[in-house]
Amino acid sequence: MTEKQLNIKNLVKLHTSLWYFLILWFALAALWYLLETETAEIFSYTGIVLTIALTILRLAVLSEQFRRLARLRFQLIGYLLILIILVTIMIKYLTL
Amino acid sequence: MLDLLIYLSCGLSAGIVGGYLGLGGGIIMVPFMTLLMGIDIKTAVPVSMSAIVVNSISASNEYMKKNMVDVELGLILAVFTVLGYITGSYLSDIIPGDYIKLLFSVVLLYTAFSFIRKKKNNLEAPQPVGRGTYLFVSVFVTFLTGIIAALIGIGGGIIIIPVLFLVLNLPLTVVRGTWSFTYGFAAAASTAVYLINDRIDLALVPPIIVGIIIGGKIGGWLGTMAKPRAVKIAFFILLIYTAFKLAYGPLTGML
Repeated sequence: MTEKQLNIKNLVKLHTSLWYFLILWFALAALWYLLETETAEIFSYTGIVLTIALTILRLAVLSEQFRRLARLRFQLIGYLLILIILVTIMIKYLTL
Repeated sequence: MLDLLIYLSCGLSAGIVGGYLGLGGGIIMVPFMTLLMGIDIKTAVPVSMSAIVVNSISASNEYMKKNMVDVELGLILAVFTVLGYITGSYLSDIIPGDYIKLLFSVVLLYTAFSFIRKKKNNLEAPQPVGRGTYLFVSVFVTFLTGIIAALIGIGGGIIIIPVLFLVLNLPLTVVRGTWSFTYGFAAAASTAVYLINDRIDLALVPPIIVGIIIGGKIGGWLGTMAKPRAVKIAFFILLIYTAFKLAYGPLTGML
């Protein structure tokens, strides 16, 4: 029995949207640095937080696609990876 | 304004080289910032790490369009790379780094020559029949390379791509595409830790990221069309460079 394959087109669409969003955000932050530093730093900081959040979103979307294909093993691996990233962040935050 | 353009070109070149080879681009960004711009390495590494997360989104998109990403393998690689990094970062307090760097520079030299000499180059991804074995082997390979990468303080791509190509006999195009999809997940955790520790220079990040987003797209696009021979030569040069860079510090300390 062959396993159902992932819908790569959806993943490409997601990545293209993220690409446009991030380039706009960071271009705005870069231009803002020419005008004023304080707001630009907030832009930059938020941009990094968003990048991390969007990376976790990529994983969540992948896991969801595996769930729809009833491929439980890979769905769990996706969620495990999200968990590892979040636990790493939390441990660092708590031991600060 | 001039600084902005310089950092933009730093990100652009890292994105093109990284995207083309399926690497994060840290191997370009960190020397660029430390040697050319005189930035401290403790500032350069976190900035490069945050740019690497974005480069993964940018470059892997191009590889995905051409169906050169093995998503299942990528997920497994990501889990074990992160676990390898964590283990390696704990072991780095116990194991002396200099000897590992010297030993590993020899291994990298050997890898470089094996890589350039290897003639067989599969054009298609492995069939589902053999997947169990190669997934199992890749777990060990990535976990070990994750540990070594953390111990000697370099990114995983320059080790993992040649190792997967040589040990698992995977096609070079699939390995590069899959790794470009994977490294972003490992780098995201590190970036978050740097951000919590307030180690990221926020002024440097935007121009470098804009550069790497554009460069990653160009590099990824070029990478999908690249001839295996050209990629092999580029990797050979990078492996030799990394081997000498690793050996230089410990050797000058001993002499």
